Amino acid sequence: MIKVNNLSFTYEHGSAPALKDVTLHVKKGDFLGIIGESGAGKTTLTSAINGLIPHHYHGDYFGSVEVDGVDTFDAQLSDLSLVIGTVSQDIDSQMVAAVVEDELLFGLENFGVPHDQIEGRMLQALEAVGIPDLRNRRIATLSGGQKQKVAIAAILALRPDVILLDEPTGELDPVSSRQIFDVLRELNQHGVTVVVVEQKVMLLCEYAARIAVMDKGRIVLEGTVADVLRRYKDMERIGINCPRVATLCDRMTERGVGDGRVVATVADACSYVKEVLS
Amino acid sequence: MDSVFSYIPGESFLHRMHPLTKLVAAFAVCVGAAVCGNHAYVLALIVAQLIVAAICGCFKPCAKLVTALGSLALIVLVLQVLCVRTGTPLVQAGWFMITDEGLLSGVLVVLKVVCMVLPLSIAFMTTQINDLTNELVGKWHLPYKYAFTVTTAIRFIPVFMDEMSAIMEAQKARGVRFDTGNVVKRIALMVPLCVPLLISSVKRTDAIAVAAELRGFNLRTRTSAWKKHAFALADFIMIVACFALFVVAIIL
Repeated sequence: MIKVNNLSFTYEHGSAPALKDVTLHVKKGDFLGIIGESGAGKTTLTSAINGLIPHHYHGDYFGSVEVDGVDTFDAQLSDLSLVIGTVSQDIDSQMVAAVVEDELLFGLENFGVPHDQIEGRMLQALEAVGIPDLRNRRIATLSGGQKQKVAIAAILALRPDVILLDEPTGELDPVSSRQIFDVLRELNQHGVTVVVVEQKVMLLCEYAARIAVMDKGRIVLEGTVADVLRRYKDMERIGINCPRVATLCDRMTERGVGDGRVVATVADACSYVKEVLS
Repeated sequence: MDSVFSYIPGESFLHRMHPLTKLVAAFAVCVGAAVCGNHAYVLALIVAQLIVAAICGCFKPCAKLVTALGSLALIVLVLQVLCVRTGTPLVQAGWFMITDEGLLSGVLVVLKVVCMVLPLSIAFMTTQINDLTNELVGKWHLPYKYAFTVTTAIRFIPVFMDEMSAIMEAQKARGVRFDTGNVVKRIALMVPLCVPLLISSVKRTDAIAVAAELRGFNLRTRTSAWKKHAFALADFIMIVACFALFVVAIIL
């Protein structure tokens, strides 16, 4: 679905490259989490995937990005955005309307969705994120979590194949963060490819299928959650806190306890430990 | 933080009316008030508008607007009364003089100001700005780019207000005294606020452009809007009534 090949990118007027020789392949139906410290190049990578680089941001570009078999250089930004729906980091700037309904309509109207389909698509998108009751609310009166859901619904209504989110839980409390990830999981189960940039490692470990770790413009680790967690010492050297269950599993394996597996969630760790003890 | 343009949800007859009808009607009343020279008529228009506002559930903000304007208009009244020297003097002491004509024209100006601001405010309070711009684009062929610019600007007034107060808080926390009694000093303190506010708003402009572009802003055409508003009998009556008010205002 998405193929990033040996991509290096330096922003115009930028001194250092923001991305260095990045290679990343995302298959259809994947749930990929991208993690890394601030300034590691995560947002730049998302801009390269959704076509803002090179269509909106300019600079020195080496390598290639293919989306659905088309090089992003050759595609129009608006065609790309029908395949990849992007939820940006700054939610307030993403909102174009004063009322939730109009926010959803904006994309639908622009892309010329036949008018008889619009109602159905709006309802479905609102239900997918669980906010059909907010339809006529003014956006200014919504909470952070609700706004985040509206932003996702506005993208979902366009029915993209891939949904790309840049720190969707950045300003949310733990409960709302989980709600957002529950929504993403649900979508993923319905066949939508999910790529999400996220700082909260615990959430990624629990929900994502694969994780890519970025550091100073490079992808330093990439693989299934268990693969990545196995190398938690590398992650800590980069400055990412690993979930304590990963440390626990590693210590168990070091001392010859258990079968050497790595678990990602507290619940799994509980049953693993119980299993070993019995 | 709401501005006078904030929409107040409701189901009244004005809410259901066609957005362009409300715009035309508001302009008719507004211009009518501007050219009218009859105190009683302008006052009657104000009262009528307040009654309409009450029916539409936006009496409170309208009353607030009238009181706020009232205090501003008071200054105009005083100036007008002091400056007009024609007519019969009512009070006279040296160069100081209040004439009946001055008093009358002062009161008229105040009434006119209030009467001219109300129609558009009521129209905006009962119309979603998106509906209005969509109709302007669809029926009157206004370029969508302009419509988008205007709606975005109106929508971001409260966002920038919040940003402004956040910057002020940040500077207060570092010892800037915005609460000083000296007005000149306070205004001087506002100047350094402009730079961070300007920078953050320019940055935000880019983010908005990106977000709009990613959702097909460039593909939008005149007929994209989904919601359709039809002209009904009520719209016709409204326009005729407001035009009649306008004609009466000219005659008087």
